[in-house]
Amino acid sequence: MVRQDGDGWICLPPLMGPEQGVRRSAGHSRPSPGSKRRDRPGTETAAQNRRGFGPGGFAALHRQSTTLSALVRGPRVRSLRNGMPFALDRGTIADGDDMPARLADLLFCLFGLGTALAAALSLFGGTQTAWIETLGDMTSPAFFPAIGAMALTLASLAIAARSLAMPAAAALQRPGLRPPLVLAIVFAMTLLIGRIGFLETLVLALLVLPPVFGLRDLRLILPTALAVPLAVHLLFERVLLVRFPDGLVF
Amino acid sequence: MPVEAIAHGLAVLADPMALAAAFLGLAAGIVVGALPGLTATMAVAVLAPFTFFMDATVGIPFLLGIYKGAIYGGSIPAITINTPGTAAAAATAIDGAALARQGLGRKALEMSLVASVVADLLATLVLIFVAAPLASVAIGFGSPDFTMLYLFALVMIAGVSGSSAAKGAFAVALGVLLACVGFDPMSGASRLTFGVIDLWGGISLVPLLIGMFALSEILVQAERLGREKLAQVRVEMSAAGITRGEVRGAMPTILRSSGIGAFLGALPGLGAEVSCWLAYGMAKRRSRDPAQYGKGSLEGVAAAEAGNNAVCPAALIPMMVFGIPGDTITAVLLGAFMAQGLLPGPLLFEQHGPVLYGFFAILLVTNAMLLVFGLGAIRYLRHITAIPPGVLYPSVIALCFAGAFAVNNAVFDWWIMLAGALLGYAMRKADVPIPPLVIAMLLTPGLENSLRQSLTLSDGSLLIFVTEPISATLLAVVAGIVGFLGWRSLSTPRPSENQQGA
Amino acid sequence: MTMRSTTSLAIGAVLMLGAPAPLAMAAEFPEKPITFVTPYPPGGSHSLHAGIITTVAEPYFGQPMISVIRSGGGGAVGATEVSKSGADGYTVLFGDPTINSLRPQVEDLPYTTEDFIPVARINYSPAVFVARADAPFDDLASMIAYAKENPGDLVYSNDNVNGFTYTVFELLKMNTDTDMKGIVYGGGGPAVQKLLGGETMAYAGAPSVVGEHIKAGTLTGICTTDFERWESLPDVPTCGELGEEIIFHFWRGVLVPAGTPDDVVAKLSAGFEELVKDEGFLRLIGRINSRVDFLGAEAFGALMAEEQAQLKAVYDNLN
Repeated sequence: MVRQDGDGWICLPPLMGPEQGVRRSAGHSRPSPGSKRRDRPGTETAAQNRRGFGPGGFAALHRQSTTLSALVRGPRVRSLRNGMPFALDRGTIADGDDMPARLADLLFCLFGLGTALAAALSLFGGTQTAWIETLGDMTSPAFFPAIGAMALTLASLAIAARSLAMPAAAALQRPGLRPPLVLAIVFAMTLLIGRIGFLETLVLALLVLPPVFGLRDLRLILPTALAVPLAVHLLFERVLLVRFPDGLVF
Repeated sequence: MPVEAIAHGLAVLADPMALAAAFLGLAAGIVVGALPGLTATMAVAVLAPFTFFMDATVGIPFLLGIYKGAIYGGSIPAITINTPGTAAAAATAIDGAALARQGLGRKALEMSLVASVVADLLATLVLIFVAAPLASVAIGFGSPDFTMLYLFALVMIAGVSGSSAAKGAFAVALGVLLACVGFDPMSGASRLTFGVIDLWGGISLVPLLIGMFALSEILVQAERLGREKLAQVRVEMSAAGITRGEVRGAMPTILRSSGIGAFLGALPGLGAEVSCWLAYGMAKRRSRDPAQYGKGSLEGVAAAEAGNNAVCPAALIPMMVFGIPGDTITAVLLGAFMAQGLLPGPLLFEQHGPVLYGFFAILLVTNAMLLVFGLGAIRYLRHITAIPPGVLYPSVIALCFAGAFAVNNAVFDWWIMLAGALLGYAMRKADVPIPPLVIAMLLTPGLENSLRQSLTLSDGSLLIFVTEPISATLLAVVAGIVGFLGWRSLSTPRPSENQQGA
Repeated sequence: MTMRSTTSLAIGAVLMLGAPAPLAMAAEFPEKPITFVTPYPPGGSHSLHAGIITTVAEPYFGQPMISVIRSGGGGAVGATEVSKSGADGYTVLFGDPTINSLRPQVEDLPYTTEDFIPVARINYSPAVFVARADAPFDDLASMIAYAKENPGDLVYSNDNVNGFTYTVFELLKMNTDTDMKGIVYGGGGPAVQKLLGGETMAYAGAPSVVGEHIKAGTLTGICTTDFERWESLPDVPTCGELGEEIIFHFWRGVLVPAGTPDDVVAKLSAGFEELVKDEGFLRLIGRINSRVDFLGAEAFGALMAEEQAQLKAVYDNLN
């Protein structure tokens, strides 16, 4: 279904932005992927070990990886690898400050398997026969979810298999502290809205968020924290008659 | 074509109130479209009741202006801050934002404007001159035909997704599952809802997309700010606009995308959201330089924007001719027409010809307005890049929260948005493409419903897809494309990796 | 903003003192805007009526009425949300027989028919059975005859499972003991499109949806599910005239959560009774091919109880 010839668009790749251009033009040489792949497995394993996979857990994964890679390795995989811009899009490899991309792949595999399992349990309550009946009946309401869950399982396994079959995956830049911080603030906002009200939460968030984006100038922060909620109130609550959850004050 | 009706219609243009209403609607629509999360549907739905008490020649142009303005407006933040203002601008963001990162934002904005205006103009002419014949073609589309059309769209779009087959498939499969969540109208069963009543309504697309596109982009920017100096993150927008040569070069793409958009618009059920992807996918296939797509292709911007804007006038065709709304926004417009005593259906043109041609004239004039207004506004949009991230991104977050709630008035949608942000960010980090997930979510309900309807009609026999002429033709085309792709991927040598990284 | 902020402040203060919230109700109802919940997506006849009602409502309640669209699950999400909202009269549901009478009885929904108190019926539409102009039948007798001769070949469109376009066909099939094939299209738009396009032969829809097509001759009116002929379609007989007693009124009415005080219900009901006489309201409701069939809280409640029992009986009969 998906072409492999490398002209596929790279979808909103976050790490393909100007930062890459900047780095490249700034003279960061990138090792040729071929050579990189060949000499990295050892360091990769060590790095992964350090990064929180328990030794036992990782050993298990690694064992699995050898069997999986034995299964999928072959001419086809090799041609895939040769044709893939896989490692290239992963951003530059800064020394010692990188998260192995393989970890991300494995996490996605687990997420996919978990989602598919949850979907299957929700659809069939774990019975085996229903699956087979459903797949024979395209008009069943469970047909599409069942196909989706199966495809997700296969795709997850394929991601893991390919990731492990590659001698070494490229590195992935660590997110740093800011994205989790923003996520935490957004999460807290969602919780707070029900308690202190929508506009109040916006004011608070607009006071807390700017420093995360590197702005500490109160002369800019304060007007924004007042103007944006006011604009939201006027546009949404006055013009569009949306009723946000009421708060303590507004 | 009744000439007198057109003459009567043009008389509407002499009414300054009608023109003012259209202009006000257009301006409001652009704002609505440009704010992430505020959808045209929502704005039109909320403002429609106020037009009930206005004159038809004032109220309807106002609503049409909002509709048109919003579809165009979605491309502005898509290009400037990589955050599509509407779901229909998601495809625009790919190349538009890539161009903006190279400092070529103004070119992208102008190309988007030109493509929008040209596509809108062509589709309006289609609406005026061939509404009835096109409508009778569209109405003849049966369930098997729709099934194959969805399959065709899926093949066209999926063929150009992502760098890794496994990851693209992962995103598609996840999208299919997400689309299945909720109440199934055909069986009355609820699926994958895990006992959560809010999930009965399904995973609301707009909040999810706000999370996946807008919030995850903000997370990416937060990450960059942590790593790089502010000066490196900010890209000055160059003052260079598009050249005539660039417009001429993109013209075939614009025309083709307009055709796709106008046709999909006339078919009830597929909207601008699907059209922009299909137009983008087709343009990429036909392009001489497909590798440029995704890295800042002006053609890509033109394709996506022409694809979504052509839908807008064309979607009025089934609504006016048969009283059948193709999507929510035309359904709301249908209500507004009815409240003015203009009952859409087979008798509408006969009974209210002059008023309708007045609306058509207004549609054409708003197009000219959009061009002038847009070219003027784009000069100032450069300054978006001058807003400090500490002001811009927190404000966008605030708007995301407002927009995600406003779509459905549902507190639950904030959680969907949050989940979308987390998933979107993780997908970007792990290089799992987001568009296939969105496309799968858009296409799955239509594909599933029409497939099940076809099979109910045929008592389960798959032969129905071969015996119906339109469906059989589409099936042959799909088979042809799949076969061609299979053959080409086996026979052509793969491009070297160096080309990719360039 | 001042109004809202002062009341919110008052409520906030009361809450902080630990006093029960209903104390805030002591003042004259209503003292803040009323939320009018439509459980269907924008663009349907429900949201169109809701738009008209809420636009003219303010003078009749002394407070604005805010239209909120909370769609999903074929209406179940909005209905559930209202049933769980505070029973204070400030959140009302714009309901109908599908979500208030039929589905809570036959499906496993998070609310029951007991969870709502009827306040006012605004109006109702009958269903109009229609056939495509070139269908092999053009009246009820030939339609039934066709269905009997060709069991399962008469294909008809309908909107949603257990929706009203679905239910009336179930009634017809049960009354005439025929076998017809219904295709669920998930909405009125696609259902009519497939009918006009020739995929199906028949449909049953609201007069506002099929009326223009009957007048234009693209669809043939078979019969209406009412006691009398529908005003704007005088040539279409009632099903009863043709010997099949099929009565189905798709009403649009206002309901509040169970537990709402009687005086609040009475006040709301009186407000709607005045509202439906509003000049602007009547003009608009006429333009959208609708009308007023007002019933106050008591009469509406009696009607609903009867309807619920009937639908239950029909459903039990089907299984």
